[in-house]
Amino acid sequence: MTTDDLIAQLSATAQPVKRLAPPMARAGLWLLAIAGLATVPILLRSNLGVFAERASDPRMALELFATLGTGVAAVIAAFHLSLPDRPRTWALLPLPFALLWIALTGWGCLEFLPEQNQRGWALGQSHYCFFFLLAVGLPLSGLLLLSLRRASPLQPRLVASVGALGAAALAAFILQFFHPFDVTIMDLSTHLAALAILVAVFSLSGRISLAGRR
Amino acid sequence: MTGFEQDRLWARWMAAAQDGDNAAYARLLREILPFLRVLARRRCADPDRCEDVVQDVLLTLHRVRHTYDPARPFSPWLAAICERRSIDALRRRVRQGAHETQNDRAYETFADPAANKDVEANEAAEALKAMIAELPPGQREALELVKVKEMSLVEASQVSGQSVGALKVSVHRALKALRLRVGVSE
Repeated sequence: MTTDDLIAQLSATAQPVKRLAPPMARAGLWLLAIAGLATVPILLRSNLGVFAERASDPRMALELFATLGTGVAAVIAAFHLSLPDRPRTWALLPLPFALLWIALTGWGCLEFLPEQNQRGWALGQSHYCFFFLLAVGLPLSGLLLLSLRRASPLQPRLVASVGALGAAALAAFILQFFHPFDVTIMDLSTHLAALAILVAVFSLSGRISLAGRR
Repeated sequence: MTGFEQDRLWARWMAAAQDGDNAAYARLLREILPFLRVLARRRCADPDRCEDVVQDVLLTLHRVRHTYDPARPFSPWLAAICERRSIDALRRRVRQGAHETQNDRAYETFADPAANKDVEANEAAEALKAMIAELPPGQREALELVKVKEMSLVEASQVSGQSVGALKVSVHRALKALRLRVGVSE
């Protein structure tokens, strides 16, 4: 088919389209919807008193801020990256938050190192965190990808990876409401493993899962 | 027209296309072709492959046209799509190059020699048909009746109304003319 024929065909069959809302608005709406969904189990099942007590510690408050910041920044970045003309540097937006999050959690782990040595290196409750992160992170990632695929991203793997990082970080933030103790090295390892699994799964499947409107 | 004015014009046409103005859409797609070809040639030396990339960009633009925000410049949006599609085409080519070996003969011949003969015979028949069509009407008719339909000279004479002698001469001249056309001397 010649290019002229292609143009004739495309222009003859084109239907009016509904423009996508700006990425910030879409990200904000998605985050609000997830906040609404997460509020119910948090109010019903978590111990908000314990959470408030832990959050009064400045280091813990900063860690919570960094975790939530990673999730929010990654979701915003994913919505921007899903559009053709947004630079790839948007992928760096969650990086400072993620580094702060890992550094603060790692610092907390080091403080507990002597106690950890005494208790031993068994997984303990860590497997609960691992499954919680996957159980919450997977549907969150799925919901995010459903919203992102409306833009038919031209770089699906990058968009899916950043989106999965955001979903995993949000799941980690939600976990804090049900995790009434400080993070040990075993916890941190399982958190990072769950995060890596989510990012890897969605990165590898991004080309298929975001290819809905191709 | 400056680049800025051109961009605003394209942005207006694109916004109209999003709203369902197919004439504006056709005008836009035609107008952006030189711009796309210049961008595609930066990553592709082969003109045919460049045109493939341009067509791929047009298809992608069509698919993602709802993502364009008329408040933003149009050219960077279009250039980003073109850049992405050019890189994809380059990667595809590298991937194919790494796993496939070009066999030029494969395009020319079939594995079964009989299939090649059929193709060659069909091509020869088409060429011969074209040459016969260019002969003078009398010679063409004589040749078709006597050599193609394999009639006797008497039968051909009854069908065409030409004398047997005239048919013989016409067939001889027609064959001579065809031999000359295919480069065979007597």
